[in-house]
Amino acid sequence: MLTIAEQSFTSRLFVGTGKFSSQQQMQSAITASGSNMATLALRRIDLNHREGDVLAPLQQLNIQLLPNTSGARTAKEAISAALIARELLATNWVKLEIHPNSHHLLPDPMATVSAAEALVKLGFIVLPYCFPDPLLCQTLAEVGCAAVMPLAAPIGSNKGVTMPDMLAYIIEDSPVPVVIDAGLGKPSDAAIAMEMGADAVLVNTAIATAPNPAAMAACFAQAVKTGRKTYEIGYASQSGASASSPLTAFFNHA
Amino acid sequence: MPSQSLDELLANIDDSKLLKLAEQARRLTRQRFGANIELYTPIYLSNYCANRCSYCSFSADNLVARTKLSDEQLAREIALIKARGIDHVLIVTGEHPKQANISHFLRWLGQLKQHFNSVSIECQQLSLAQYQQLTQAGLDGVYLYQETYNEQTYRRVHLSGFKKDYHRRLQAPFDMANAGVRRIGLGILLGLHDNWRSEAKHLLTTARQLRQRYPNSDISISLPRLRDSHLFATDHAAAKALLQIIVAARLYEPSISIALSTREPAWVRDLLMPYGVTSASVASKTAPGGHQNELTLAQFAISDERSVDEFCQALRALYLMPVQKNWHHGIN
Repeated sequence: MLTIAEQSFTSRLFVGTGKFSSQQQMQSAITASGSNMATLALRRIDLNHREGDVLAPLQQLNIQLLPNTSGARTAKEAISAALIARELLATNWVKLEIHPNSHHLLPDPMATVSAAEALVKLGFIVLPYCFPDPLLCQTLAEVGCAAVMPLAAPIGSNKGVTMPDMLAYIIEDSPVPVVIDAGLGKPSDAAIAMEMGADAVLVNTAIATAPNPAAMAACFAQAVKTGRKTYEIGYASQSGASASSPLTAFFNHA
Repeated sequence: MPSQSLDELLANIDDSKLLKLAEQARRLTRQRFGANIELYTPIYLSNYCANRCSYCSFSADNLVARTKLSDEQLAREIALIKARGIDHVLIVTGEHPKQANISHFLRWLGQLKQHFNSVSIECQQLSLAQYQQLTQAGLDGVYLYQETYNEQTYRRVHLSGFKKDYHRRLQAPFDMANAGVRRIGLGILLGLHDNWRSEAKHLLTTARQLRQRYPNSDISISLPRLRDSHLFATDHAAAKALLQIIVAARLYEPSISIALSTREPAWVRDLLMPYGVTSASVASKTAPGGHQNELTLAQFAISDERSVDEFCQALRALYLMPVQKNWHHGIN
């Protein structure tokens, strides 16, 4: 079972909440996903529960909330956002997102490290969204992040796993769980990430903007399970098992 | 998706081609922005104006009662707007260096920030240092429209006042970007110049230039329209032109915010909303104190007069999500 910061998760699929067309649609998709954790932007949390609020509908579901700092452009803004979210939601979990450039929405690595370090010291359980850079992920783990969340492809691009070699290095070496975030467009993309040994994936756009989000969420859930199972069994080219190796006979003669 | 040149996107194309582009723009918008439409309302604080502009009812030579909200009137206006559930407001003023200047803006901003999560401004062109002051005080965006990018037309409709300087105004968004303004609003007033395609081309070229040079500023565009202009024979013709500009903007600059205001009739707004629009004004009053007093002079006539609830219902029918809060005071 997946454990992050001593918390167990039965599902390895995490979901985003920012792109649905209605609260009901979001609820039914999350339920169908079987996910135990949903991320929500602080800027969309509305304690007055006006139109577009994501908090109230999520609270009706039995799901852990992972507030995120989306919209923050600097380390300082991300820290402010995390502190406000902690107060509003009474959780010290935070998904750290810093993208200064809203055109590409790529995370700022330097700002992410410095904010992560500060937030860990403030007692946060920090899950940073980051570029799939093995050295960066190593640094983020060293400063105390509870997991790392490297992107598969730019947010919302639906391009799938675009840098498998880098993700493989990260997965191989990471001392903390690796959650592949952003860019997974199809269930097969999620399966690829899971087969590689990712601990979990986070999906938003591919579910929320699908013609039928709930049905698509169920497909992702299946793909994540199958991908994980495949990794655990070890697929053919990696298993190394061969019942009839000629070397067996050779060694038996020796 | 093959990337198309701006000239191709804004060319005189047949309906079937426009329909195809519109569908691409709709999909790209959902992919980037989800189904969200951010709601805001303008809050008019002063109609004093030292400019003479041929198209605006606030123009200095219009013999109308001038007014500026007192702190008490502003408090009442705030209460009325909040009661409607609005959380994003846009300060709007006429351009008058004595009646509405940086010290007023800072005071109003301070008052409004206590009540709303996002406050932006549409006022006269300010200096880089003043934009900096406002940004540091928590302003989220500045909207300043070139109105027309055609220099000759610009000179014809701006009769006197600071706004008359075409080149000075062109510089404004770059000053804002250098000052660190988070969201920069560009716009053209459709109907001033007779070639809307060239206006849109200039607008979007400026947007791209800004985005590339200042990647940390968000760009928003608005396409207000003079309803009594001869440019479009009917609302139907105008809606088609607006659709093409919105679609071109989305496909040319996928990350741009696109606002569609209550100047347009409800049917035009509902028709165009899915194809690239990301924010919409609602329950607008275009006179200072307009939420508490219907009698003061409005800057322009509102066409879509639906209430917040009615507008939200219309958005939901289009499978769009009205978003009243999309920022949190205190992050910046």
